[in-house]
Amino acid sequence: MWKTILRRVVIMIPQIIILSLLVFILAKFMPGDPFTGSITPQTDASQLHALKVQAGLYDPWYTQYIHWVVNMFHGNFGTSYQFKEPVMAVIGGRAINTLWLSLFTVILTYLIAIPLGLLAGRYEDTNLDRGIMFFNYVTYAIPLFVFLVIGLWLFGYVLGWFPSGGSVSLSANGFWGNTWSRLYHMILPGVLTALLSTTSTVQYLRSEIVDQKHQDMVATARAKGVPERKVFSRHILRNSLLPIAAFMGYSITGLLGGSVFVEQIFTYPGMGQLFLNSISNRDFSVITALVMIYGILALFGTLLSDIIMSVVDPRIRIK
Amino acid sequence: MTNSSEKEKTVKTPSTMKVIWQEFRHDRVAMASLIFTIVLILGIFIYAASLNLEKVTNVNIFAQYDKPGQDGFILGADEGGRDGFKMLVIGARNSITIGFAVTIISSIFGIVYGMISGFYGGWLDNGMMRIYDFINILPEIMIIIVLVTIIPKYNAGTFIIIMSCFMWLSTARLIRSKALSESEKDYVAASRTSGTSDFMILFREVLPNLSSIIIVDTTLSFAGNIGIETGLSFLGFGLPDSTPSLGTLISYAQDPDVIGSKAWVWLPAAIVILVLTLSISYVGQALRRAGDAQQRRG
Repeated sequence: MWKTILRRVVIMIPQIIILSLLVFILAKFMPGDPFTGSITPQTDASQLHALKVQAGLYDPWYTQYIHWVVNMFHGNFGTSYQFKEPVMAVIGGRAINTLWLSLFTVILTYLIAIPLGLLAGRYEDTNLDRGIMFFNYVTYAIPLFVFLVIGLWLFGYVLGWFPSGGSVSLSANGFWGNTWSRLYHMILPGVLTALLSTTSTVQYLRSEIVDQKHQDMVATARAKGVPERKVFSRHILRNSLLPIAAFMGYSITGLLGGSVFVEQIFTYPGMGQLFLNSISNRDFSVITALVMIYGILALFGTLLSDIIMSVVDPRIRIK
Repeated sequence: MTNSSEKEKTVKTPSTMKVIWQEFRHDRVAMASLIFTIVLILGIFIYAASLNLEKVTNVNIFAQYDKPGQDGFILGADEGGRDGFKMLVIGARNSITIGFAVTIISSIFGIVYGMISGFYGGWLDNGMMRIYDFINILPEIMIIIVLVTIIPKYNAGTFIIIMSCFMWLSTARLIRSKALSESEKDYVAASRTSGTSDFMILFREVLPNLSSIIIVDTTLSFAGNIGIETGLSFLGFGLPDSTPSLGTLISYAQDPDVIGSKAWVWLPAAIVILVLTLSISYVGQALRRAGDAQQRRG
């Protein structure tokens, strides 16, 4: 098994290199350079030129690229033009907010999806199953942002049950007050996103259970006189639930893509909102860093999924 | 003579398309949603063609935030005093057009990519799948947004191309797996021994066998692409300002005052998106059921 994991990690190295090259090329196409923000009418052109030479902006592209990668490994993504702070300091706090919201959403997604998938699979072809499949069709078809906007309007404004934005209210104090306020702000975006993220898990779990039902070992268990409830909880469930665990990594990738919408709509101060904010303020050092971070996180998400998969399912290892 | 008359008598195996159509005709809900979708899209296009874009998008400050019904605006007016209903129709037309264009371009590319990858297999397939894997993990929404901001001559055409660069992936993977199993079948081997060129085998013989899957996939991606285009326009990185999209109309809801107390400005656009994506996907799901012998209802 370690061999598989090692091989999978080795595949990731060229992927990271290509990703960094791509982001570097994108960054080169973005207008401006690290000094654009500090230019004033009094700036001496020759002095600016000297600074640019010193920063290596006239070096050949591969020298610049290596320089950029080395800096990145030191956690140095440059200075944010908008905040006049190191990029990592700007991203740091936002990253924690995004992490909490994503974690909360993943947990909710599984809490909703697993029971639905189980019920649909167990009561195949009943009205319950048809209802769940209809729910699945709706969550598949609806675009996330429309659902979020309508949800915010309904529960945040019309009914007023939840705050309409932010991550923590200013009046909250003390550890518990703060934690509760944070959680309260995450409920609406978390639940709405989780509802729409259940589709693939429900679908997969349902078909997995339907498949398992017709396995010989299940027939044997039934023939032995094992009660129906136990057949499900002992024989079918275990086999069907394991692959679901492997989806965890992929769902991280999916959530990151959605975080741009969720955070923008709920004005939640995370990385997605920072990204859009930086785009409109042309803060390119932050944009570059964020695209790189999102790409690497997605890479690790798929790595995690593949590793869990190979642990859970030995057949994949042989391949 | 006798030979030819015998040939005429042999019952032709119904083509996939015919089977799908027959299954579809029996599924009343699916038929209704198909007719509904077509009528809705045609209605939007015909009405939008009768509108003068400049007249509709002209700002009329006196009508700012008119309530529905006021001054003859059926769905009220927006911040610029523009007729909400007419904006809605034009926005819907633009979103459908973009979604359609992206679907056609990305589907054709994905089909060709997937067929070549699956049909030839070996190192070619391996390499192509590596490229696929890599693009698949890219944070696509963010890269599209970055591309939209740094491309110099940005318009609806470039937007379609940028979106298509990322939307062919799922089609390619689906078609690859089907082409892979088709390429192992006897008819391909028979055709090959009789000297048919690979190109002919791929497009004259394998492609028709994939037609039902392609139709289902294209329908579902059409709905998905409308969702993604409107989402990007909602964030302000989709269609340029001169061409309103349904997403642009919903983006007015980012103003806390508009979302809270002026729902008529954005809610109709949200409902149109829901209706469009739900009905198109329903047609897609019904097509899938019809194409899959195991799931047939009728």
